[in-house]
Amino acid sequence: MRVLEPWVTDPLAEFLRESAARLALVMTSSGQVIAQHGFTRSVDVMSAASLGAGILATTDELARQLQASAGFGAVVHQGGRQGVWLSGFDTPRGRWIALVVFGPESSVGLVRLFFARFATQLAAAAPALVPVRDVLAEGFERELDDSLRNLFGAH
Amino acid sequence: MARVDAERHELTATIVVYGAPKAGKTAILHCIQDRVTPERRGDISPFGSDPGVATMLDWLPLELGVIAGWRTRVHLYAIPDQRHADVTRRLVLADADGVLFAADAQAVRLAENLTALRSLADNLDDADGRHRDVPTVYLYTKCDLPPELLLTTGALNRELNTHAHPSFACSALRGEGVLEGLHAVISMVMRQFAPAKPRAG
Repeated sequence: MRVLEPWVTDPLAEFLRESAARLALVMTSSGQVIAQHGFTRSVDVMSAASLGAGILATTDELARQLQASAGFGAVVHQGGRQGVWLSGFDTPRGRWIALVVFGPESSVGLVRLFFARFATQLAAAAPALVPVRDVLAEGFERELDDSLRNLFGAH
Repeated sequence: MARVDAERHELTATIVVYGAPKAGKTAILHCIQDRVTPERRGDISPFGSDPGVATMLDWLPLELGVIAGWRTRVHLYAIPDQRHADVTRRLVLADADGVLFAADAQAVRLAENLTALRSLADNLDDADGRHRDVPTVYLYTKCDLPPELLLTTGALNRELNTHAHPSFACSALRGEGVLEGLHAVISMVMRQFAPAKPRAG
């Protein structure tokens, strides 16, 4: 498992253990990957993330046009050997998306059951958000100038 | 909005290169890649395979280094032209901290520029329809073409840049004006994250 936000590790590990999912991808609504498990070179994480975010955005737009006020909960594709669960969920860091691939050792029901718990645990584990404004301290202007000079080199 | 990782003390801002089809968005990204310090950038990662056209999304990561104790990065995205990419456009702009608006300086392309500007405004609105004010810099592209084909910077500003954002005439082929525009938009974006200066008096 690889995670960008360390506080995601424990809830995700528990979800994977309980649901017996094969692959999992947690990302922001714009497809930025937060955590992934089980992806190998044969399954490109970035493509899966952007496609997953695109599918969910399309589904949300469809719900909006159909005036489904609560939106659609999740998108599930059930194949012969494996299934895909794709769902948006709210976190203290905004709306995130999870893409879960499961095999015959699991089921849609199991994934749905433990996914709800995962979302709750994730919300509880999220550390307080640092306000974006005022992150950079005094001395900022000089250091910004230095950084831009280094970035642009001789130009 | 910018990504702040308090544990690692890292800040990542997103700047989107937006504009009308064929206004030179991908060329701008390549110009930047060719001209910034190589150690301070990654490589352009295209999603799609059609040469010369931003079929899905082009991404160029830039490393600003440590500013006020924070490791700071800028991710540059070129938004695709295709109509079917509306969802991608909206998703990427939802996270945008700044915009480089590429407007083709040719007089015959003015209508396309205005359409792209309206689409930018629509896509910057949040889910509730509220307008999001994002630091924006205008790049008037293809200024290496014969002057009789081009509108002047003043005329382009009157037609397109009604809020008087910084603007630069540029040629991505010659590498003129692009880095100046990038410098301006990065400075504007990063200043959003700095404490407001105390007012004099």
